[in-house]
Amino acid sequence: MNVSLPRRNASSGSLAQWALWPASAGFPYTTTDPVTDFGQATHDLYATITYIVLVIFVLVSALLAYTLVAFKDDGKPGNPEQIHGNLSMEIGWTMLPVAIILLMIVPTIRTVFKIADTPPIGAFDAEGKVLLDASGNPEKPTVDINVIGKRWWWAFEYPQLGITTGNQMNFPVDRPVSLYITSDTVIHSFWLPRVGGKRDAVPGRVNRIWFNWDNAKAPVAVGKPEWVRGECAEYCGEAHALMRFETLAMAGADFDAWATEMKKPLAADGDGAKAFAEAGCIGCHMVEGVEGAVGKQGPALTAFGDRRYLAAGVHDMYPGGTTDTAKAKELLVQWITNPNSLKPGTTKSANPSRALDGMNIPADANGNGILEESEFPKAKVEAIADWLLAMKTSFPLR
Amino acid sequence: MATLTAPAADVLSGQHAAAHHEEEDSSLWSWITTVDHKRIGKLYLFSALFFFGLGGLEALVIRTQLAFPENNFISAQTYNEMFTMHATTMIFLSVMPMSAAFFNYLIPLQIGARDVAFPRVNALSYWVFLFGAIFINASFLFNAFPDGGWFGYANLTSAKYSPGPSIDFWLIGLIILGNASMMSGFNFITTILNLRAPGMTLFRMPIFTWMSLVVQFLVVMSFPMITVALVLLMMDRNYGTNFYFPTNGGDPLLWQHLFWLFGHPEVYILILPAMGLVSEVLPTFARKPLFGAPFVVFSGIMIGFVGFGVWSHHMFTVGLGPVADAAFSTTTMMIAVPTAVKIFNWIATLWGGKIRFTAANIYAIGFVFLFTIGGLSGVMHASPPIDLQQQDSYFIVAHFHYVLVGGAFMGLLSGIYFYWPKMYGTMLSEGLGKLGFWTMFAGINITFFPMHFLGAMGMARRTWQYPVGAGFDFYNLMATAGAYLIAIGFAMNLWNFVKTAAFPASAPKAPADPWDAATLEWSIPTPVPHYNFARLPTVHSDRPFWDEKHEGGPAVSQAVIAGPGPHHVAMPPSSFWPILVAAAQAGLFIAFLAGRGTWDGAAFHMEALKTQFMVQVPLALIQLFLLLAWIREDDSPR
Repeated sequence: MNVSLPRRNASSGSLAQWALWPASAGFPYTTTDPVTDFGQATHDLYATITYIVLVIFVLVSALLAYTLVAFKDDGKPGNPEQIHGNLSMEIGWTMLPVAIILLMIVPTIRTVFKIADTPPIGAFDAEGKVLLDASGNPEKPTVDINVIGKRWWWAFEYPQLGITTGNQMNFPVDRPVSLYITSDTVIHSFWLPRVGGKRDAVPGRVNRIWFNWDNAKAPVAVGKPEWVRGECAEYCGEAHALMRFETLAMAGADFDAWATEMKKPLAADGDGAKAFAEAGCIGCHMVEGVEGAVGKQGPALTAFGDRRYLAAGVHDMYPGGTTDTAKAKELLVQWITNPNSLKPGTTKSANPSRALDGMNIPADANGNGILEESEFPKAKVEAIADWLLAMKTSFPLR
Repeated sequence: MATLTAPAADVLSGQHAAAHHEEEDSSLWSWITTVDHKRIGKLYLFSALFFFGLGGLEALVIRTQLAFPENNFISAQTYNEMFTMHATTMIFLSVMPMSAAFFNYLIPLQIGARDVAFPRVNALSYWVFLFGAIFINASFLFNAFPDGGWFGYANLTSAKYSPGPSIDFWLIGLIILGNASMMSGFNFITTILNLRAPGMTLFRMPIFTWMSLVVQFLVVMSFPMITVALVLLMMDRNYGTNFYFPTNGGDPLLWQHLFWLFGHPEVYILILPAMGLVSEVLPTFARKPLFGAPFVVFSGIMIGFVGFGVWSHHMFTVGLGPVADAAFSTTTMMIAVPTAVKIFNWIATLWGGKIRFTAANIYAIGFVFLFTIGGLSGVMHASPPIDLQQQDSYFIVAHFHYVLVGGAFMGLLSGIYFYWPKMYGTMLSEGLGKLGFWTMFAGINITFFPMHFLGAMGMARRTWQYPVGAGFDFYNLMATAGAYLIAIGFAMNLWNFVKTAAFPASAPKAPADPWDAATLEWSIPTPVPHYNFARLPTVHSDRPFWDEKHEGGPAVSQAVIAGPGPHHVAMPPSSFWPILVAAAQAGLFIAFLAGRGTWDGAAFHMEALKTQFMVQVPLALIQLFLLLAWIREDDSPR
């Protein structure tokens, strides 16, 4: 696959970036280039401790190296002085690490409690005071997003807005974003390295991350969003490596417009919509405004035309940011008819009428992993692909 | 016990002793039925080297797959099986038994005993271990290679998400292996506490024996926890209980707590024996006593103790809340204190010495250097906010490979080069050993150092493929090249061991005390007689043999102790019951698995339970019969 990932220029070097120089080059998953307050808090601590550790490493290595050179056996007869130990030295090198640990544990605990704070109810000013409108409500309320780990993709629900998306999470940069992370399958881990640290998606539990985009560090303007890539970090079975996702940081006005459009019926009537229903896709995939398409087993496909990647961040449908849909259609047809060939182990069924539970689909031609021409004509599959790719908001921002 | 008749000189020069003693029986039967701790130690050593090779091959498969982005050398399923079995093999079938090889061979020699406290249980431990190791790997033949990770997180390991028998192979294999470890744990605790030679107080014990004692306590306290966790998992998977699986009201985090309550002490079970060996090697080749020996001992005890209070640092991302995170962060950082004390003491031991750079010593020095790197990166993710970025990334992979390959494995290799002359009566090739060291040392750094960068660049662990353009390409290719270099270095060492063991005539004969060392094991002849010590020495210091040779101290060596030597030392006879009992135990578990095939794990099936019952009850009776027969065997020393 010819995937070209969005890149940014690395920001000027902090200490940790210097220490971990190869990671600071603006790669899409880097942990050393934070773009939120949450990421920055972690990163400052990361820098401090990296620095301390490097100094210790250099000193200890130098001491060891000097000892080895200075006290090499000179071949002269006789034994060296038999020193059994020295109490004050022992006390010294017990207290020294204790002191160093105090240096590290104090900022650590401070940061632990800082990032565990409850999120504010809305955008706030430099003093941390929430901005209120005339009636006393937050001017720009915090956006809540429920993140649900699936096998092997991510569902994003916006409870305040009534929107559900799959594998792509859009969020505004002008107000806090609060993520409620859980899973309804196995344990996953939600990791957006540039936003900040990961949190596990544990069935039966909800973990929270909240953050504020740092617009000074990563400027986002109307019509100029920023992609941030994420991945699953906890081993969750066969396709764990292929459980990535995209997030799109949008200017506040863009986000509001996008949210409004997502509530409107975006899907056209016609052959594609019919085939989508006929093939049974509606059993698993929710599409806003399409009758019967309410399934939750698979990712919601509302505004599928907005998405850049297929199969949970695995395949770039628009290489190099092209607007041409030829590659996208080719991939989508393959994904519909033979999903295992694009994502080994996927729970996506090629023929929903045969495997509604979507588990354990073998990749062989005789199993339910391949949709045969005799079962469902290719022309209808193409109609579905065309229909999905045409279904978009005004923000197919690549 | 001993009949004291023959004059001392008869027994004591090396060749004389061998000639005097009954001809050493080297038949296969004698190895199968042996209860001699030295032979059992050798069995552990070569089993562990074999499994290290196997685990290494699995590592090479993993690294080959990761050489290039979006590579398709193996399938995702195979990849997941490879990393699961690589870790399981290296931890349980390689590093632990290699440590056990030294526990077995060395502890009785270091404390001046003729064998361990329970020689026959010792044999049983080995055979149970071997059958457990074969059991877990036999899953390969049934197309059920475990694929749940060595940590086997619930609820991925539930019958719903892992329906085949692979997880059952894994969990039953671990129960069997834990059984072996616990048996030998109690055996060595008893041996060390009860069988020390006269005058050997606890603080005159060699450091390796001390670290071994700490390890045995860790084993007998932590393995029950993993065994309980595994039995609960087996119940959930096969009998429909609800301990771990949230769909039925269980809590997947219960597994994580139980697993890491075992899993973190396990880390010290892997590293402390190597630390013990290094604490023997460095002083010997610096020709000085270990600097601050009591502090090295107490720091080892401290590591073992605090090691039980840090488990949740494996769980900073699961959301235990800021109070728990802060507390476990503090305890974890505290572990750095005793670790630093050890490193400073090792360096102080070398300081002012006359350092000889033998193969054994350069492995030990390599250990100190590489372990320092692994220890320092460990301090970094002791800080929860940093760990939120590093957890489950390649940074962690870099960290624990520095600790376990650069640390534990290098330390164990140092021990092999150091003790080989005593164990086999021949000298290993020093040149090949040093070449192997530098190859492995380069390989370890080329493989694992770039993984720090990969982790910082955001590469998640346990991923079968990584995308083009994420910047992971170069460092992965580098790591793969380094992995092959490690393999070459290990092959050099393995060749050195196998060649020298198989063709002893081709290697120089080893004197009884080739390194001018300080402790009791060097004071007896090589090859070591069956009974180790013709006469038990009386110990007056922590370096009895050194004091005898260099300080005019009281004699401990067999050649010098005055008085008549024994004509015959009565030792426990060999026995075939341990291997039979171990085989019967494995059979019981095989029957469990065979019965399991009849159900889907989703619900309680009376029919399947009946089948299992019908197979297992007779097998349990057979095992009971074997145990009773073993009890009735005449095992009086002869």
